[in-house]
Amino acid sequence: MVQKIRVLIVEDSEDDTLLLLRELRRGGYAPEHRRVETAGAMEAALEEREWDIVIADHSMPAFSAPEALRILKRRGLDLPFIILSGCIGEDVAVEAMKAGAHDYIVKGDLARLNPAIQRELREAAMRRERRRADEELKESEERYRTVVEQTTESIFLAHPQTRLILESNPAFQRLLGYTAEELRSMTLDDIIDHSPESIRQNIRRILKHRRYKVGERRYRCKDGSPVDVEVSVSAISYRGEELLCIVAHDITERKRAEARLRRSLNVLLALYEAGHVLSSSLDRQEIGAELLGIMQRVSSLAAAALRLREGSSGEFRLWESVGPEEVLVAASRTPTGSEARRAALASGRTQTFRLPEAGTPPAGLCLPLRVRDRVIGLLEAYGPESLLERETVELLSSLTSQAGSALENARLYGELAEHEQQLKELVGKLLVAQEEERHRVAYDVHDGLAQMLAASYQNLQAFAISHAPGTPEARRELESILNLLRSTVREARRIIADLRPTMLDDFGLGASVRQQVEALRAEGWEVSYDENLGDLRLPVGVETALFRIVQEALTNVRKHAGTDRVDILLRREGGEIRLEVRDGGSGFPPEKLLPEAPGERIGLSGMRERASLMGGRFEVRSKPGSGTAILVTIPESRVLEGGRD
Amino acid sequence: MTETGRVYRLIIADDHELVRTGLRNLLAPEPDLEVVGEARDGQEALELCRELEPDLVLMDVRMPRMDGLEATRRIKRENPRVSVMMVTMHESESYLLEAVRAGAAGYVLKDTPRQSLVNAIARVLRGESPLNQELAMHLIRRLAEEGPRSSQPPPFSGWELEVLRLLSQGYTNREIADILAISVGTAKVHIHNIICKLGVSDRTQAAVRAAELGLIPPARE
Repeated sequence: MVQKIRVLIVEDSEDDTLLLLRELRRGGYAPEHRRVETAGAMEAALEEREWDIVIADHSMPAFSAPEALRILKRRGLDLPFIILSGCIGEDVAVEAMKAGAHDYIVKGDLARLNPAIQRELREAAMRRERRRADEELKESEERYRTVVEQTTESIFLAHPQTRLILESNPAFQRLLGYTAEELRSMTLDDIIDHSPESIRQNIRRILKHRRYKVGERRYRCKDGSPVDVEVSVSAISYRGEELLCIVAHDITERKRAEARLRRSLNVLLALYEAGHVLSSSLDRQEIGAELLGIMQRVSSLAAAALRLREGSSGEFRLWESVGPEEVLVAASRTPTGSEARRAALASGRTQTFRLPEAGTPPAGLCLPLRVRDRVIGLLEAYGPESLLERETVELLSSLTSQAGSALENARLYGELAEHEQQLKELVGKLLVAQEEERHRVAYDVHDGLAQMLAASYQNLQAFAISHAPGTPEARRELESILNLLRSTVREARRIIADLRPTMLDDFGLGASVRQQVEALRAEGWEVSYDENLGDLRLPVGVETALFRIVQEALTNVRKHAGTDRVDILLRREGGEIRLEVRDGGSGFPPEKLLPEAPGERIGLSGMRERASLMGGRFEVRSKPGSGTAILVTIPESRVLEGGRD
Repeated sequence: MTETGRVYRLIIADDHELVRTGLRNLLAPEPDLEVVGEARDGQEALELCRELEPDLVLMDVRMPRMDGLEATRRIKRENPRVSVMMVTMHESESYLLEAVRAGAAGYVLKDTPRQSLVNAIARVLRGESPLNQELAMHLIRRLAEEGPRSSQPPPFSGWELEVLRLLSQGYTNREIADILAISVGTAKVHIHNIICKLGVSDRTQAAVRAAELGLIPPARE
């Protein structure tokens, strides 16, 4: 195969050139050539086109091989350069080779030419290849360097044994606040905010695994402040040494965001918890304690106090406090503290302030507890500067406002409960007073009026014997007066029994109800009576109440039920006294049984009240068409404890 | 009145002076009844009974210090021969039952017409029960419902049991005699034997004791 070759021949002899070309062709080349014999022509030829090889005669009249070689070098061309010469001394040859010629061939020994060309072309190709590779490497290095210089990641090299920082990029210098020079004289121990042992341990791991993700580390800046970074390290070879290439990613912002998120979450949780706790309690003490407890958990407060307005005087009373008392007292007594309270009270707005006084926390908050337009309380909190951060103030305000409503609700509930209790006591007193009055009247009538009437009746009868009327008219008149007197006594007896069955006092509940049963039976009612109290006596109040309930229930049956069938149960069993009055009558529609319904007409509220005063349970079961049942149960503990009074 | 010719000695126990005077006046026309003492309460009645041993006490129920029921119990315990008749404002079966249990032979209301009161007294003194028939039935039923309190009844003849049954229903001697077709005298003998065997003072107490002993089945309506 013929190989094309572009040959620049520096030669003054035409003949020698022909010989040369013939030799080249003989070697299998298809030479494309130009012959130059001056520097100018050579320059022109080099300028004009590319050449594969330069073959130069050693000496010419106007030019020489060393000169040609110099031109080539000056132009930065790395072409194989072979010197041909008629005869040349060893020293000249050595000189030429030193100047950069690739070979030296005697014209009489042209057989060496082709192998030399072959070799030199190959070597030139290799040199070109290497140059190109070198250039590429250089470019690549430059690209990397640019990336390293411009990246925001902190990158630096350190020596694994000396731990010296060898190189660092600007991002790293910015991160820590050092210059490149300063860093070069520092070690890893100077910038990593962890124990030297921990640093050495990580280095061992890196060298073992080549690449190692250290994870989150804390570095130290020049100003002493810490900076959180995420670190990964590779072991690299650099200029024959094994070095650590450390990439540190600044995660301060991420950390901060995390902290913010965590704080927000805490705030949300606190608000949620507060909402839950504060609204689920109706105990003011508990609400106060919970409020301060939550506040303490979500803020940095050192001490806090809750004051509530008490009674009609409007005085604020210390309700609840947390934190050391001496801190609270000291801060609270400062002029700044009292001024803040005054301002909060006057404006109804949160007051934030700094305490210049010594021996107190630096910052304070005064939060008014408002319900509608009224300030019902004040909350003071003292602590570090961070207490005054906007988020904290907002959170504490929000909590305070929730607590304000909860406290007000609890207060109203308490008042309501108290009123209800008072009402209940009043009803109880009323019932007792009523019973006492009935009792008194009954005994007054019994001991006074009724006895006098009976005596009058007896005396008048006696008188009628000793002074018998003379005429039938007078006898009839006397008879009618006697009858009138007698029925008056009976009326008195009926009144007494209605007011206060003496039975109840003398024989107790079981017998008294039995009398009612007997009275109804005498009227023709069908009454069953299931009773096991026997001679058991219950406290007067309980006997009276149960008896009145029976009376009331029987009155209802009589008035409303439209039946004369009643079942009465009065039993002591299972630790309870149990009373039931059931009829098989017409029953009531349910709406009539509601406590606030006009049930008053059927006396339900009275019965219920009496039962509840005994600590008992009262129940009405009624449906139109299927009768009514009155059920009362009283725990025996309530009944027997008190004994009889 | 009692057709025996003797004069019966009475004590009136009532805390109301008006009532005591009224009763005394009411009984004044009766030649064979003599009110020998007045008591203002149960305690006084008990003491007077010890002192005077009367035939009959007219006893109020509710009195201060000691009530009529307690006084009756004690009087009957100390001297079963003394009869007690309750004279009261209370018209109630429980009082009646309690009075009979305490040992009273009769129970009348204070507004009972004079003649009825005198008759009741006479019946008690004659050893008859001054309870009306209806009340007596109730009473016996109640006692029988409560069950026997003693399981050792004395031996009674068939005639005696029959008489006891009628007696408990409030029948008079004559009615019992008529129903059983025997003479009034024979009936009286039976009743006397029954009262002796039961160890009681009068026929009312006999009926009570018989009911307590379960000798009389609960009456059915």
